[in-house]
Amino acid sequence: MLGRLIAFLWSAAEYLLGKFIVKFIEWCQANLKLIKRIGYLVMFLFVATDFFVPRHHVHFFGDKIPGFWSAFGFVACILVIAVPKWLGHIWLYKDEDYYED
Amino acid sequence: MFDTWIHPSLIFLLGSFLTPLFKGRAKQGYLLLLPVLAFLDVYFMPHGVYGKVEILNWTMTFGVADRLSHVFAYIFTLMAIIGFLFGLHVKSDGEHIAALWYVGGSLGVTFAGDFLTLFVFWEMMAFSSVFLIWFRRTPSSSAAGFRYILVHTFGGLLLLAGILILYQETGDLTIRHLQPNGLAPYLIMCGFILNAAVPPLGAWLPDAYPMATVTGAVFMCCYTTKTAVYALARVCAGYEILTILGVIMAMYGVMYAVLQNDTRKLLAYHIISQVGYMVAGCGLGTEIAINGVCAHAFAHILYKALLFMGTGSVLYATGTAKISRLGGLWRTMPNTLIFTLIGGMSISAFPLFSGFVSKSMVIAAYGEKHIVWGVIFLTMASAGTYLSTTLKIPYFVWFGKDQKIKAQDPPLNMQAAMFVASFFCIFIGCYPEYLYNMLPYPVHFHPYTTYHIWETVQILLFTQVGFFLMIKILKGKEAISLDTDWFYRKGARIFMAMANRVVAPVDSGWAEVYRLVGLRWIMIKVGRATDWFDRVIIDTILDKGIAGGICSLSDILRRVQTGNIQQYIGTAIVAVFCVLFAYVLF
Repeated sequence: MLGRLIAFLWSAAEYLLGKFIVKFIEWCQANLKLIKRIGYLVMFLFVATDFFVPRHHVHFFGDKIPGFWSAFGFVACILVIAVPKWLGHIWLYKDEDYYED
Repeated sequence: MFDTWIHPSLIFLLGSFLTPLFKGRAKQGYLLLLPVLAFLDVYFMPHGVYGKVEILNWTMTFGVADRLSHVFAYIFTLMAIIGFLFGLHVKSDGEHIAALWYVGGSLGVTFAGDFLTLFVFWEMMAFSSVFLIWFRRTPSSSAAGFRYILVHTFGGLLLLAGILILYQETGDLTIRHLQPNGLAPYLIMCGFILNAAVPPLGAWLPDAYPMATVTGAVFMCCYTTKTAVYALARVCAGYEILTILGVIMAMYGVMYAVLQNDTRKLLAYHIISQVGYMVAGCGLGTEIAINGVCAHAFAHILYKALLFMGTGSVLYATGTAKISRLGGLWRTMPNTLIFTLIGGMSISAFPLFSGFVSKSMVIAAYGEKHIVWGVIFLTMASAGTYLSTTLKIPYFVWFGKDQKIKAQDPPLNMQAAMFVASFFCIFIGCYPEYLYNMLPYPVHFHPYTTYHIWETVQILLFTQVGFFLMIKILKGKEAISLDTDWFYRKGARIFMAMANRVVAPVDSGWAEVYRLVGLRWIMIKVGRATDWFDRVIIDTILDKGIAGGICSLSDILRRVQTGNIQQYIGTAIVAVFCVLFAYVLF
C-alpha cells in the first residue's frame, strides 16, 4: 500500500517536472532575443568585474591579466574542435563498416 | 561500531547465488537490499587489517581498511545502489549476476592487502564485466566483448609478471607503495594503466563500452577505471611518467570525443579524459594531489554514471544513441534532458556542481608544484569537456533538427536512479565538506574563492561562444575514428592474411613437393635414415640435453620459489573458472 502511494507520488512529481521543463523551454524559445541579451550582458559583466577580483595564488602570467580566461576559453574551444576535426578529415575518419570486411 | 568485520564483496558474491530464486517485486527488493547492506557495511566499517586467511601455506589478506580504501569502497557501494536501482526493470538474471560479481570484484581489489588477492579480484572484474557486453546479444557486441577480454587478459598478464618478479626480488607481496626502480614496479604500473585506459593501451574502453547493455554501461563506466586509479594511488603514487601520461590522456580523450557520433562512445572518450586528471594526480603524489584523485574519482563516478544513464535512457527509448539520427527530443524526454544536463554541468565543473570542487583540486596540485603546462592543458581539457558533454550532446539529441522520433521518458526506476545521482552531484557541489571529510589527508583547499569562480565561469561562457560559432562543423558525422585498437583489429587481420597467403601455401607446397618427388624407394631410404636419426641423435639430445637442462633449471627455480606461489596462481585461475562456470549454469 505504502509502496503504491510512493510510486504514485513519484510519478506525479516526475510528470509535473516534465511539464515544467517543456513550458520553460517553450518560454525561452518565444523570448529568444531577451535570452541572448541577458547572455551578452552576463559575459560583459564577468569580464568587466574581472579587473577587480583579488588574485592570491598567481601561478603564471595569465593569472594577472583581467579577462585572460575568457580569451583562453574561446581559443581552447576553437582548438579543441578544429585540431581533431582536421586530423579526422585527413586521417582518422573511416567508414562505419571499416572493420567489418 | 561492529566487532566483526564483514567483507562487502561477500555480500555481493554470496548474494548473487540467491538472485535466481526470487521473482517479480521480491527480486527487485532483493537486488536493492544487497547494495544497501554493503553500503551500510562499508559505512560502519572500522579501520584496520582484517580477513587474513591461510590458504595453501600462504596468507591472503582480504581486508585492509584505511582512509584511502574506505573512500573508494564508499563510492563503489553507493554507486551500486544507484546502478541496481537503474537496472531494476531488467529481466535477465545473468545481467544482474554479472553486475554483482563485477562490483564484488572491485570491492575485493579495494580491500586487498596483498598483490595476489588483488590479482584474483582484478581478473574477476574483467571476466564478469565482459558479460555486461555480451548480454547486449548483438554480433558486434559479442565481437567487442572478445576483444575486451583479450586486452584485459593481456593487462592481467602484465600485472602478474610484475607481481612474480616483485616476489622473486623481495619475497614480500604486501600491497604498499613501490619505489619506481626496476622492472617489477613498472610492469605492475602497466597492468594498472591498461585498466585505467591510458593511451596507447586505452582503446579497449571506447571500443567496448558503447557495445554494452544500457545498464551494463552504467556499471562499467564506474568500476574498472576507478579501481585502477585506486591501485595507482596506492602503489604508484609519485611516478613521474604518470604526470605526463595523465595530461596527455586528458587532452586525448577530449580531442577524440569531438570526432564521435555515438553519444555513449563520446562519453567513453570523456572517461579517458577525466581519468587523465586522476592519473595525473597519482603521478604528482602529493597530499593535495591524492586528495584530488579521490575526490575526483568520487565525483566522477556519480556524474559519469548519470551521463551514461541519460544517454542510455535515450538508447532505451529510441533504439539509437547516434547523434546524427537523434534530435528534438525535448518535448518527449524532458526529465532525461534535465538529468543529463546536471551530469554535464557536473563533469564540466560548473560552480555548485560536483566537478567544480574535485577537478580543481588536481589542477591546484599542479599549480602548487608550478607545472604551468599541466595547469594549461588540464584547464583546456576542461573547456573541451563542457563543449562535448554539456553543449554537443544535449543540443544535438534534445534540440537541433527535430527528427520526429516517438519516445518517452524511461520507466520510473531509471528516472529515480538518475534523480539520486543528480542529487549527489549537486549536494557535493554545494556542500563539499561532505566529500572532503572522507578524503585520506586533511584538506586545506577552498574551491569557492572569487577568483576561481570567475576563472571557471569565463572559460565556460566563452567556450559556449566558440560552440555556437562552430556548430555546423560539430554536426554528427556517420563515421568511426581510428584509434590504437587498429593494431589488434586490422593488425590481427594482416597477421591472418600472412598466415593464409604465405604460410599456408608454403606448407601445402611442401606437401606437394613430397607427393611429386615421393618415389617409394626414396621414401623408404629416407624413412630408414630419419628413423636412425630419430632414435640415435634426437633421443640423445632430448634425454641428455634438453630434459637434463630443464631438470637443472627447475632445480634453480625451486630454490628461488617456495612452491607456494604456483599453487596460489592455480587457485586464482580456478577462481576465474568458477566465475565462468557460474555464468554457464545460469
